[in-house]
Amino acid sequence: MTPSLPPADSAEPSGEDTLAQVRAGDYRVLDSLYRRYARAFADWAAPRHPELHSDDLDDAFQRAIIVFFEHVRDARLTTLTAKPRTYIFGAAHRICLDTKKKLPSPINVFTFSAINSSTLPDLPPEMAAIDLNYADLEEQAQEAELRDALVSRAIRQLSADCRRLLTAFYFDGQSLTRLADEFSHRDVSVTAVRKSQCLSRLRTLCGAERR
Amino acid sequence: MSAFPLTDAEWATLEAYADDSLPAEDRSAVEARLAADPSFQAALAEHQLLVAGIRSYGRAALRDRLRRVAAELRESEAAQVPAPAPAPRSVPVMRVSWVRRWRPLAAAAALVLAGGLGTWLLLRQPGYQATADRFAVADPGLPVLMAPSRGATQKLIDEAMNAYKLNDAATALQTWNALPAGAVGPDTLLYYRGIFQLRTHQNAQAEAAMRRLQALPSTAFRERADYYFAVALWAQGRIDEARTAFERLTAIDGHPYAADARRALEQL
Repeated sequence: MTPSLPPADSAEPSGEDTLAQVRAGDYRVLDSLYRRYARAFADWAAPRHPELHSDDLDDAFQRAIIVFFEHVRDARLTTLTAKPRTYIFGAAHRICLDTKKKLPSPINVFTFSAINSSTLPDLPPEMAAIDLNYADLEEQAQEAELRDALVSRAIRQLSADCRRLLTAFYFDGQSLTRLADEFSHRDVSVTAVRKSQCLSRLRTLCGAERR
Repeated sequence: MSAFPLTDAEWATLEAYADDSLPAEDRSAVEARLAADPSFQAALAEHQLLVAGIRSYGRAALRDRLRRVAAELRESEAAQVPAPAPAPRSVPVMRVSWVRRWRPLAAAAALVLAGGLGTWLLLRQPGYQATADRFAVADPGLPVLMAPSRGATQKLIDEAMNAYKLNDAATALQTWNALPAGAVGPDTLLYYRGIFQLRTHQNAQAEAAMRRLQALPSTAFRERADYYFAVALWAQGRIDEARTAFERLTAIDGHPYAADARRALEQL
């Protein structure tokens, strides 16, 4: 029997609203998705992944929300054919499968070699049709962790405005026009100059960290 | 300061090129210079690494935000008092209005009698964390050697351990989590992650780490994991489970943490 997803929250915002909020860098929509569906995901996933601790399920759900955010930000996901939670549940389910592969024996009592992204027998059809590729994103993230730890230490030494400007532009994908408005700059060129100054300061701090 | 002797204007142009916001003619000029000037190429590569670092920082910050939301959600769920069971006896008709009037008080009283509120209050006591902290026997951490030429990975390990020894477990955890795969054995990775999580009061995560260590067929950290697993339960206010875990440990002949566990049991 095909397992069904838990019922959607009737107050869940539409896919278009969710996409618009994510594109605007409004993290509150992610908070809201977590609050609405973290418990439902844990209930849904626990019997499917009995080897995983509830913390692992929660971890997978949080990571899936970020994967969803990054897909929308990077325009890899421009329209939704299902509710946002369906995408997030699907990504979280795959993360759980991957987590199980990494468990040390004897917890890992199953053979996972047969499982790949196209063989997911335990998914309702609407989820099986969706494949948010999280492996590439996270693999790249892991490879870069060592280098990024240094940059992160340097970023924490920047002023709050510089931190906000750089992360809003480079992580949230906000335009300079939008940021000029947020920072009440006279025009976009001021924001561009300010961004460049913040990068320069960051390079200096990274140099100091390396030494 | 960057290793590349570029002027501010040159950096700004390079950044705009990388952001794909240069006009076509300026773009061509940058591409021509990139083709001819290896140091300009290297500067672009440095900029790209910096941007990757910013994105990684953003990702980590977003993750922290979700963790906070998760913690808030857990707290609000824990604070929800279960509804009282309906009264077992029927109420005489003539006294219904009285019962309605006093129903909130009666419900609260029933709850106290049932022990629900007592349990709730107990779980809400902040004292568990502090008491558990006192019993979290300090792990000495890994030794930090003062060898002159240490690799980047060993430097990270040293950095994490130094931070831990300076009571900065948050930095220790962050640095430890940045270790590349295979830098240390999986049990070492898991154990110190759990220790740092315990020190930063990420008790559920610490519990999970110690539980995983306990499941390993063979590890030098097994006995320590037994103890810190119990401490993690204690810090979460899960007293019965913590007591069971400490008792199980004291029943093991020659367990190096048996005396600590017995002292903890006296406090539970």
